[in-house]
Parts: sequence; structure tokens; C-alpha cells
Amino acid sequence: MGEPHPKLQANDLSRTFGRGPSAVAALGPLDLTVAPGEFVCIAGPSGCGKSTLLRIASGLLRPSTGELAIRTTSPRPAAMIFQDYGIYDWKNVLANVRFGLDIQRVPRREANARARDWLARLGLADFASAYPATLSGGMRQRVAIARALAVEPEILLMDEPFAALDAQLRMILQDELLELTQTTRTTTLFITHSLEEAIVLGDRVLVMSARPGRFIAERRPPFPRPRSGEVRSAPEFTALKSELWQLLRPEAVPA
Amino acid sequence: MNTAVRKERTDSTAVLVRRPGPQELHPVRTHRRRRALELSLALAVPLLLVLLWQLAAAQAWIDDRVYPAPTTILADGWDRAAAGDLWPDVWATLKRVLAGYAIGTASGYALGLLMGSLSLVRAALEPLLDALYVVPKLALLPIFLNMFGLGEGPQVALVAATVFFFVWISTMSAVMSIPAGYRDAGQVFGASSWQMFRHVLLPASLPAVLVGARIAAGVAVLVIVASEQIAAANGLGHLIFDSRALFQNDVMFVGIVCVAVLGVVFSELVRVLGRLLTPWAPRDRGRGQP
Amino acid sequence: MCSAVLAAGALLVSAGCAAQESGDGAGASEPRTIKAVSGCGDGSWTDPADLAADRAPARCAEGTPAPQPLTERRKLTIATGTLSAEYVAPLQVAVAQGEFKKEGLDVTLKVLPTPDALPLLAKGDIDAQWAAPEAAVINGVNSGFDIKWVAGNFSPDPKSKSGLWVRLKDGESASHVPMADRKLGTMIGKGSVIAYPMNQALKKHGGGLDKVQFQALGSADVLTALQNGGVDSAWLLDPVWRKVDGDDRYAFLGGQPAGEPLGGMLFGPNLLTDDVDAGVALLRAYIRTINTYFADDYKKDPAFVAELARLMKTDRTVLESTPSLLMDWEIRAGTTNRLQSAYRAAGVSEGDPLPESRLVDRALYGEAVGHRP
Repeated sequence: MGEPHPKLQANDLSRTFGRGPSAVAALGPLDLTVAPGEFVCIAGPSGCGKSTLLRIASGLLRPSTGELAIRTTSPRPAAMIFQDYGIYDWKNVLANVRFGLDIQRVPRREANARARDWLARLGLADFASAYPATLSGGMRQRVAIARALAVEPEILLMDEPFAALDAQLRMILQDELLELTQTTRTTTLFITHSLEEAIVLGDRVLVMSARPGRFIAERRPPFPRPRSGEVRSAPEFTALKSELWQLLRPEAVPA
Repeated sequence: MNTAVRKERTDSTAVLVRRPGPQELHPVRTHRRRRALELSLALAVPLLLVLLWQLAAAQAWIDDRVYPAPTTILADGWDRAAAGDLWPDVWATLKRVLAGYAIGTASGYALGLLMGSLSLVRAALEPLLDALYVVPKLALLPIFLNMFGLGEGPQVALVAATVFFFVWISTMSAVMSIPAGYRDAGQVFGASSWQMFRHVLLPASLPAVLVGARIAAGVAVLVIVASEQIAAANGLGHLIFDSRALFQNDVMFVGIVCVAVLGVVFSELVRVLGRLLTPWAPRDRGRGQP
Repeated sequence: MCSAVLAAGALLVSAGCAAQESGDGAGASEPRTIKAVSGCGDGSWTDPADLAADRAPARCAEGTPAPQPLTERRKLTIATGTLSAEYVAPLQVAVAQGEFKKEGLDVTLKVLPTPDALPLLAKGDIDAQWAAPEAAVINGVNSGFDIKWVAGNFSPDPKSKSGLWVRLKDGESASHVPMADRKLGTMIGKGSVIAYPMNQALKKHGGGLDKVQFQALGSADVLTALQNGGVDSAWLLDPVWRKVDGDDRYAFLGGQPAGEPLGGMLFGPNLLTDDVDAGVALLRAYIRTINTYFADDYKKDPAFVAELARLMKTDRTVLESTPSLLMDWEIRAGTTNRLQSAYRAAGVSEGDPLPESRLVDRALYGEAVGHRP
């Protein structure tokens, strides 16, 4: 988009799994540019490769072709939030949120202070010494978000973080996330298969095709920042949702 | 839950009613009674069996020269303990079990961790260890006797070898079955190998490892008794088989009871230790009612 | 639930109150008629109190006591620890020559180690055991089982040096070797009858079973350990002792006492109470075998030695290298007392010593030779 210094730039990126005749093209080829502070949502059908894109961005996976570049001086600029198995059952909530800071060898006192700050922001202050097994799904994802934001990452990668939650909790967490990220202005790449979620949260919404995933549409939700969950009732919201669904639906129908 | 069928007098159609039952009406009392019943059963059943044995011996349904009555065993054990004859054997066996268990657990855990996380090491060592796993360790006793001579060496080595395999296998499979998501999180946050071990691999695998360790505790006692029969001059296993050779049945039973108690105590100790080390893990003694 | 507790309580009370059935030791022994036996005169019975080392063992004429077949043929099992030791020869010869068959007995010799055979004998699953009143037997009788020593086996030739050998240290001579705190290698367990002569030999030299360290070794290793210094002393059997005999570095301190058999036939309840006739018949055949084939120096006859070698599956040179055993079916007075004090010293037996009447029964071999008490 003419952005001179994009935070993240992917060129001709693709990924294949397996060898020989059983090889499967999972992703791409695609290009992607993300500006600093931009919240980009990628919506697509199941199995289209959106998680693969995120894993390449996080460094967990290498691309088969192409390149993904991140403008940064840190070797680990990203923090990731997973759908499940994110936080650790054997650490209590405070230790979990502090995990990234412990890895970076931040002194314990400072790390605890920062962690508690984030716990407060996510309404988890009373649960600091609880173990994840005693928490509900929504609480656990809040812990995961706190853990990711506590390290103040340059890039936030979120892989369908609310998919395992019920519809009501999902809306509540979307609102909370909106509030948080509008304060921190972290560059974010957010994967979902819910168009509604993508439009509420994103500065840009990219629609991905079925496997191998390529971008088939890009829209900017016409809602200024700072926005709240009320945009869901705006007529532009419904219109955009229908338009994107028309593009997404044929991809989502099982072959 | 309580259901009742009540006939409507007027039009004679039956009605099915769901009513509160005793658990709903008096939850505290019901729960307390249930717990009391469970506890008393847990105590009463073993006690009843022991009483039955005592009765059988007293009424000569069994030959009490061959199967001494529980009171005889207790009295004999008490006399021996009071005379200080019992403790040296118990201590000798305990020392061997503890030493072998410590060595076996440490080495089994280390190797299991290594092989679980590094696939090259696993590829190199797994076939060899799988083959050794099925060799009865007792069959290796003559080899240990040659290696370590007489004395404590072969006994401790045998216990260590037995315990090693249990702990190794449960550690390796525990590490291998750590969900990838746990490792991914650590990796994305930039954990070094040591940090990954300390924060992720060690705690994630610990509950399964402790299960293996608890099983190994029982087996260690089993193995030491068999090995003491062959290659030791003291200890509870030696006591059992020596008294058998000398046709002293009551002493033999004292030895057997002592070994049983030792096995139970040791196993429970490991379980309690496991609970302390893994406060987050669910209790593995599942009681039916919450 | 309350009723379960009450039931448990009732059981406890009844179990506690029920009197222990005390096993009456000796079986009812109605007096048996003893008839004189031709061929067995004054020499067929010696006074048990005679402990002289040069006592001539009891003997009858060849072929006596004559067989008195039972009215009904009877199958009997005798357990023995081994079939290839020389002291088992009389039993094997008896079977081979049909002496048991002549009595109407169908005898099987079964090889079983003592710890396995003894409980079977006590329960009546086997009828007799060719062994010795070891500590295990004493303990068994103490527990209430009905077992008795009813005939002797042998005493060693005075020329034999089977027994306690010691490696001499500097300055020691055969007449005095301080044995306290020495290591003794043996393949025999602590509860064996050898404890008694071992204790005697050790005591003469300042030792004692309680003062000496035992090292259990396999029979092949005993001599090696003595020669290479692994142990200071060892109990060597026939013919192993020949290897160190005449070597100045080793001294013989003593063996099994002369004129005192330490083992022989053990009977269980089957032959002590249920069928005494069969018991006497068994001993009669055994005694007749001694009188016929083992009366004196049986190794003088090369043909017989060859026959023994064949029966025991051993080499005739091995048999010829040691002197003949003095077969002796009688039991000396006080042997079991001396054995029990040795067991006590070795720590393998507990409780008060049992009187000889509970462990020994001479009436059966007495009846076989027609001796009236």
C-alpha cells in the first residue's frame, strides 16, 4: 500500500508438506504487507493454511518458497496466542503471565510487577495464585493474552484464540481485546474463521481461499479508531459481512 | 433421585413425578454418611480377612504349623523386634532398595529425557534398550556377581537395573507425548534448551514419570527379595528363605509380612512425594464421589 | 453397616477364645510284640550309651534279618538329597538287589533337597527321608510335626581325614591354631549336622561356631578358596581332602566323630503311627542290606566296587581313593543333645532343647533285629 517501512513483508510465500507423490501444497503463493501498528485479520475456511502462515511468521516453521521479513532488531519479536494448550498447567496464573519475562531473564521483582499490571488489566488480579486447571476457558485465554502482552512484543500473532469459547464469551473477549490493542497499538496478525470477528477487530480484513490458501479479497472495515463492539449493529457492518461471505462461501463448501 | 407413580383419582391416568431424594434434601448428612461408609469398608474388609485367617487357624481349618495364625506372626515379630533381631535385616534390605532405586531413577530419568527430546539419540539407543527391557533382570544376577563380587554391589545393581527400565520408559514416552503446543509456546518466546527443559519438559512430563516411579518402587522390593535369597547373608529376603530352609514357618511369615509392609510404605512414600512435586496434577486415587 | 460390625466383632471374640488345638507329639504306640530274629544274636544290639571311638558296629549274619513280607504290598517314597554320595549306597543297593521287594515294599528313591522334602514328610506326602536331624528337623518337631530319627547311616573310617582343614599362618602348627574370627568356607548350610563336629573341632582351637565367620561357597569353590586365601579354613569332604593331605601348609583339625552316626532314616507320621509294620519292614530290609553287602570293608572286592560305581554313576578310582565307610544303623545316646547345642551356638535354632524321646525312636530298628528293651 505504499507503506515505506512495513513491519512485516511476505513475498511469494508458499509451504508444502510431505514428500514426493503425497506432498500437499498447504499455503500460497501469496504476498502480504503489514504496516506498523496495523491490526490485520485473515479469515478463511478450515484447512486453508492460515495457521501455517502464522507459524512461518513466528519462526516455528520455514517457508518452502519465498521470504517473510520482519523489520526488527530483536531475534524474537513475536508473541503468539494459540487456540489451546497455550498456557502451562503446572504454573499458576502469575507464573504463566511472567513466563516470557522469565525467559528474557528480567529480574524477578520487575517481572512480577509487570505481570501483575497485566493481570489487573485483564481482570485476573484475584486469580494470581490459581492453577489453570481451576479456571474456565475464557479465563485461560485471558491469561494467554496477558502472557503475550506482558513481553510487549513488536508483533502479536493470534491463531483463532477464541474459537474454543462459546459465542457470548467470544463477544466479550473481542471487546476486551479491542480495548487493549487500541491502547498498545501492537502490530497484530489475527487468524479466524469468523468474518464477524475479523470485521470487528481488524484495520484490514483479508479473505483466504481454500487450500492452498491465497488471498482472494481485501477490505478495510469503515469504522474509525477507537471503536467499540457497538459497530456490530451498524448497517455497514452487515453489508460488509454479506459481501465477504459471498466471496468466502464458495471456498468454504467442502469439495 | 426419586421417582414415584401417583394415580390421579379423577381420570385414572398415571403421572410420573421426579422428586428430590435424600442426597438433595440432606446433602451434608448424606455426604458424611457416604464417606463414613467408604472409610469403614476400606478398614473392615482387610480386617475381616485377617480375622477369617485367625479363625481358620484357631479352628484348625488350616494347619497352623504350616500357616501360622496372624496373632502368632505378630507375637513372633514383636519378640524379634524387641530383641533387636528384626531391625538389622530390615535396614539391610532398605539400604539396598533405596540405593538401587536412587541410581535407577536418576539414570532412567536422565536417559528418558535425553531420548524423548533428541530424536537422534533415540534412534541410536532405542533398539538396544528395547531388547534389554525384556531380559528378566534376575537372570542378570550371575553377571552382576562376576562384575561386583560378593557384597552389596550385585544387589544394588539388580535393583537399579530393574528400576531404570520402568523409569526410562515412562519418562521417554511422557516427554514424547508432551503436546506440541507446549513446546511451540516456549519456542516462540525464545526459550533456550535449558529454559525449555526447566519450564516445559520437566514439569510437563513429571506426572507420568511419577507413575512409573511408583510402579518401580513396588518392583524394586520384589526384586530385592528374590536377589537376597541367592546372594546375600542378611536382609528380609534372606530371612524368608533362610527360615524356610530351617523349617521355621513362623519366622518365614514374619519376614513375608515385613516385606509386604515395606513395599506398601515405600510405594506410598513415592506417591506422597509425587503429590508434593506436582501440586497441579489431578489426584490419581479417584474417589467415586467428588 | 452396623450388622457388619457386629458380625466382625463376634468373629473376633470367637477366634480369640478358641483354644489352640495342641498337637499331641507322639502317636499312640500300643506295645508291639517283638519276636527273636534268627541270625541276630548279641552282636545285633550295642548299648546306645557306648560312645567309644573303636566300638564295633552292630551286625547280624549275612542275609538276616530274614524278610517278613507284609500282607499287602505297599508303595513307599524315600526322599534323599543326592543319589551319588557314598552314604546313599546302601539304599541303592537295597533297591537294586530287591531287598525291599522281599518285604512287600515298592520303594522309590526321590531326589529332593531337604527344605523341600521336610514339609512333605511332615504332612505325610512322602514316607521317609534319608537325611539327618538337621536344625530344620529340630525346628519342625518343635512346631509340632511328627518326625523322628529311626536309624543311623555311617560313621567315618578312623583313617579318614574328611573334615576341618585349615591353612596354617606363620608360626602356627597343627596342634594349636587360633580359630576365633577366622573365615570358614563351606558348602554346607549353618543348619547341617556338620555343625556339631565343626563346633567340637573349633572349640579345641579357641574358636566356636559363634566366633567364626561363615562363607557359603559352591563345592567346587571350597578347595580353591582355601588354596588361594579366600578363606582361612574349610570343611572338606571325601575325596577332596586328599588334595591337601601331606601338604605342610595345611592342617587337619578334626572331622566327624568316630563311632557316632550323625544321620540316617527319618520317618514321618505315615510310618511312625499309621503303618508301623511297613516302617519296621523298611528298616529290616535296610539292615539286611548292610549285613549282606556292607558288613565290613566292602571296597576290598573289586567286583562290588565296580557295581557301586555303576549304581552311583561315579568313577571307580574315586571310590577306591577313600576308605570304606563304617555302616551303622544304630543311634548313640545324646547325639541329638550335642547336635542341638551346636545348632544353638550357630544361631539356627531357638527355644529349649528337645529331649531325645521327641527326636529319636530306637524301637523300630530294635524290633527289626529282635531286641527286647
